[in-house]
Amino acid sequence: MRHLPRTPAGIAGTLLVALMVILAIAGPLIWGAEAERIDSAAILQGTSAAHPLGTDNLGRDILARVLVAGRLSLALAMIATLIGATAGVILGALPSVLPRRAARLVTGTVNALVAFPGLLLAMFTAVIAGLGARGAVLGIGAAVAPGFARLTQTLAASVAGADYVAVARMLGVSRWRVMTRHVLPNIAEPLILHLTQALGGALLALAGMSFLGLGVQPPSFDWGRLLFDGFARIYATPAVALGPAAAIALAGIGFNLLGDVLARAASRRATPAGAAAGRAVPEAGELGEPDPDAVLEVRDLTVTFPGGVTPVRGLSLTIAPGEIVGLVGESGSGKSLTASAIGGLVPYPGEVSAGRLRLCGADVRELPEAECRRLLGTSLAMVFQDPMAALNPALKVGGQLAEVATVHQGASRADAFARAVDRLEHVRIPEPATRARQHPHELSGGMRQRAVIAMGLMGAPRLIIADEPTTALDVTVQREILRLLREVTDETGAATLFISHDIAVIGELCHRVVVMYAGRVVEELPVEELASGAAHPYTRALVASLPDMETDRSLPLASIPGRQPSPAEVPDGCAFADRCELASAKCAELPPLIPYRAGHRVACWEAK
Amino acid sequence: MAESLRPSAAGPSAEGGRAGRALGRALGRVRSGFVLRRAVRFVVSLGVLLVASFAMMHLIPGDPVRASLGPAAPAELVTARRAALGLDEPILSQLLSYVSNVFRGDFGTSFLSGEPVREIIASRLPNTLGLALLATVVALLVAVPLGMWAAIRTENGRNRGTEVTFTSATGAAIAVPEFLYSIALVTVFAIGLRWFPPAGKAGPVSYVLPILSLAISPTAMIARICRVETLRELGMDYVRLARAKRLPAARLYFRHVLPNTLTATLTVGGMLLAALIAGSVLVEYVFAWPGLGLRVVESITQKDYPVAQGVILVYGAIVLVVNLLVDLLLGVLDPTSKLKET
Amino acid sequence: MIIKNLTVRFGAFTAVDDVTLEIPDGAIVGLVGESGSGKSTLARAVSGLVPYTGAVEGVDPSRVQMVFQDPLTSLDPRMTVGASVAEGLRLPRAARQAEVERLLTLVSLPVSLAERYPRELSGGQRQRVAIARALGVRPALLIADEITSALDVSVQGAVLNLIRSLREEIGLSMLFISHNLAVVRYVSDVVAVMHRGRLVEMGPTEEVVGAPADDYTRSLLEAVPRLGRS
Repeated sequence: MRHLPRTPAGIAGTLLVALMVILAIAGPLIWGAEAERIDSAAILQGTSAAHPLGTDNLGRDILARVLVAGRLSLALAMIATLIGATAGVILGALPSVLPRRAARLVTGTVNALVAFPGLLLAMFTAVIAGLGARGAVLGIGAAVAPGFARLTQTLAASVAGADYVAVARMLGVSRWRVMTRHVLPNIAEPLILHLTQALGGALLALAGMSFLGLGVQPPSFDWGRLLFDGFARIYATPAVALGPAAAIALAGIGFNLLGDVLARAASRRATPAGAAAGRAVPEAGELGEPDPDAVLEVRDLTVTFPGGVTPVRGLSLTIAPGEIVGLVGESGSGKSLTASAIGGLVPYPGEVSAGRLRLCGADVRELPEAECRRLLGTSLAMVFQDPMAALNPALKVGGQLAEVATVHQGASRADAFARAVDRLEHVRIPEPATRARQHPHELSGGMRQRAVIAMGLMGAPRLIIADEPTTALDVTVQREILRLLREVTDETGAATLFISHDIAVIGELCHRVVVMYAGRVVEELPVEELASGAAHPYTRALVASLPDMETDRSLPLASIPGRQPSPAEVPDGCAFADRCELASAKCAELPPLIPYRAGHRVACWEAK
Repeated sequence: MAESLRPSAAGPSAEGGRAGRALGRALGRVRSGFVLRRAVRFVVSLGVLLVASFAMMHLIPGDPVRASLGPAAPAELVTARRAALGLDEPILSQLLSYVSNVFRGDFGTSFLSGEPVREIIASRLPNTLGLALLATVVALLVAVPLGMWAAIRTENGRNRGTEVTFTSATGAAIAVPEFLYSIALVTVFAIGLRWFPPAGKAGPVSYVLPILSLAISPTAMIARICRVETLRELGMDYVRLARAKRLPAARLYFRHVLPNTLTATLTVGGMLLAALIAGSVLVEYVFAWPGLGLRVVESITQKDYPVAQGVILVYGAIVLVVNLLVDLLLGVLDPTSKLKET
Repeated sequence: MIIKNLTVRFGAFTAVDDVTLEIPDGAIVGLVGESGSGKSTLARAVSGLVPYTGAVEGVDPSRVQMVFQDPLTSLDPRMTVGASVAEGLRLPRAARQAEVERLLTLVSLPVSLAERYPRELSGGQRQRVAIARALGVRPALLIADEITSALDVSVQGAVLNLIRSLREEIGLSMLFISHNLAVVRYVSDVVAVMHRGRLVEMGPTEEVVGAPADDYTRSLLEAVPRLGRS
């Protein structure tokens, strides 16, 4: 809540609420006498210069009464909200203190009460407490309480389950201190937020009660009561209902907008804005002739986001049929965005530019729209990290596979389904016909990833882009998926771009390795040279820092000091220079990716 | 807007084919105990509601009969009324006879008119339900396409203008209570332009203004939820994969995204329907609509306790039934059935 | 210390099934297993976060500390690094500052980080803060649950080196849990393998890795990706 976003809605909400508060404080002081002055000569008048909103049955000025009524309306709403909030927070906190049985009872009651509309609870209470402000306030308080109770419960439960609370308990921090230091501060903000919204709600509900004649009774008056009086005369003089109605509407809108803005501010604070100066993207060099045999040919691929954030910088990559190329890098190196850019899936507001982007011998940017869709839809297969998220939870597995055939190949539903079952069998899913009729959640993690791969095999894939496809899986399952990917590549002659942070997996699966650092390719080498023939100091450090089954346990592991520059602050020169032992003055200039040995290229001035 | 109306046209046909299978799944759930648990919860809640409505009469400070008839009423009349209501019997036997009466459809008689409460409810409930259901249908039909359209237009923060307009407009629409909409609509369209009748129930035309008043806020609220849910789904990998497969936009949005947003949308829709039934009290009051709401307000102000008690009980029961139905519907629609544990 | 016949049940599901495991003084016991093997539940039971049957003997329960996978969720976002580290210290206020500095130095972090908030640190730094905080109560047993899984490889090495140096310098006993057999092999003196809630194999690291007795251990070893295998 430190800095509210300056949107028109935010400003309007803040202003309206401020206005309401000022009115509540100053209103009765200024117009109090005017609002009570009875004038038998001016009974039940409509709009006039003296009485802009008319007069009531005792000749009192309605505008003055509206301005005065703000205090009572707001005060009653505040009392009701406080009653509700206090009761609700206590009810919500009880389950974490009570024994299990009692806790379940309280939780059950709260859950049941939340379902009941507030107005119903308020009417119930009003019947018992009798007509009048007291009954209405108690009723609205009762209506506000369940919402608070539920919110407190959920919040407390989520914070109590947080790792840092577990740690505090293990450190021997007292229950009281855990509550005051860890739990309360972390749930206070959403509760306060809810308070703003509840206050607005209570104000409207009280107005509603008074409007029905169930709330504030004469001679007291709030906005709802004034509307009640005005409504009776609405056919004759509609203006008399206008004042109280507008006041209620403005108060409601004010609190609601303010609540929205506060909620937004609270949720945005967690993500700091990455601002940095824009930097010129290096000019694309000579492109040369396109490689007719390559499945994928990318030249000078750059992905930029507003604010000078450039996660991928002038990347070039060629993949031949049947080849498995590993793209390795740490988080933030731009490897996943490279995959998205090739698949045409970079999210807005990212912008992709490339000197060349050819898939299966055609530049995807020059193809007509329909042809491009077909080409990408059938020749490109993608596999993502989390197979649960990659399958639509609402649809059956078979249907999701069959879709590709019905949409792009014009197959009938039955044919498409039969092919889907066949493809599932091909990736060795047992009982494929049964599995095809199941939803994704009924499959195991490994099976889901197989299903995603099978989906890619529905068409005639020429390129498989696998983005961390085994990271979420267990090692034994990972091994099966890697084997499957290799088989699929061998069989279909498709090329595979395999993206991973795990250099060991890359080393095991791929033919060729491309190492990315801070958005650029720093080295490209045959897999055989990865273990001991890498030339770039970053690649070498990466290999050395990875413990494997042969690592000498008596020696410390290598580690790289410092951290990778973020996509907004990549230097013009070698991005790794800051962390590099070999760095020299020359590294201030960007080293080009140049041939080092056969099939091996490196971007380093110091590589020997 | 033209674009936003498309989903409603595509909706029913997509839903129709699924009904048979959905029924099969629903029956499957019986075994899993889901329906049973929901039914048990419903019965318990209903029991609590019965006790609460019974207690209402007894929690009224002093003597409800005296309070109702006023201090001037003769003592004999009060005594006779008390005896007729059974108020002098032990509390437990009163509760038992209350519950058994309710189940036989006997809600007592009005203090004022002497009418059986059952007849009041029977004649007025359909008017209230009709209004609330129609308003819900209108809200869903407008809100879901609107929310999806807004989500698609503002995905990943594009079209900031649309986003600001959408959130501010829905925010304001939610903030204005239904009785103000009623008053505004009456003033403009009934008193000013004379397009619609200002009050009463007479033919289809008389439904327009009450339904509009009831539907505006829920529409804004559902549209908001629907937008947030759609945005969340659009960020999921399965959407990325569907886009990688180059599915046509209509297929992507209606077949892939829409079903996944329905769970949350329907949950909120169900809660809103429950709230709408209560909210109709105010709208009925403005339009002098011959529903339960108008009657319950009169009975509370006139201290006609048996009527208030009966109507509030019916309102509560409707809320419970609506919640049960929404839960069951979600259990059928949501294949992962995250709800099953709760 | 020794864990004897420890069992954890969640309703009808047995997450940890009759596990007996000895952790010799000053030794690092590595615990490997796949998701659902019960290794993390065992850790939570030994730390007293989950009710269990069986016994944990030879260690004061209040002197068992645990470090979690994601340091961002295990540090209170509203407390500075210094306040987090100081929280568990049972020291007079005046001595705390010095102790926080000593602990940060012990995990090779600059003392100046004490004033920062967790979100301002890198993943590796946060994990070291979490370790420093656990060390503050001079634990008899430190449980490390997948502490390098969320870290980049280039940072992981430093945390693993820290774990080993802590054992050498202060003789810390540790239960080191990971799904990554290579990592476990590198830091541990003894390796234990869990599968479906049961302990299937346990022995000195070189023996388990070099000559596994159990089929499951063998399949796990087979599955470890190796750089130059293709």
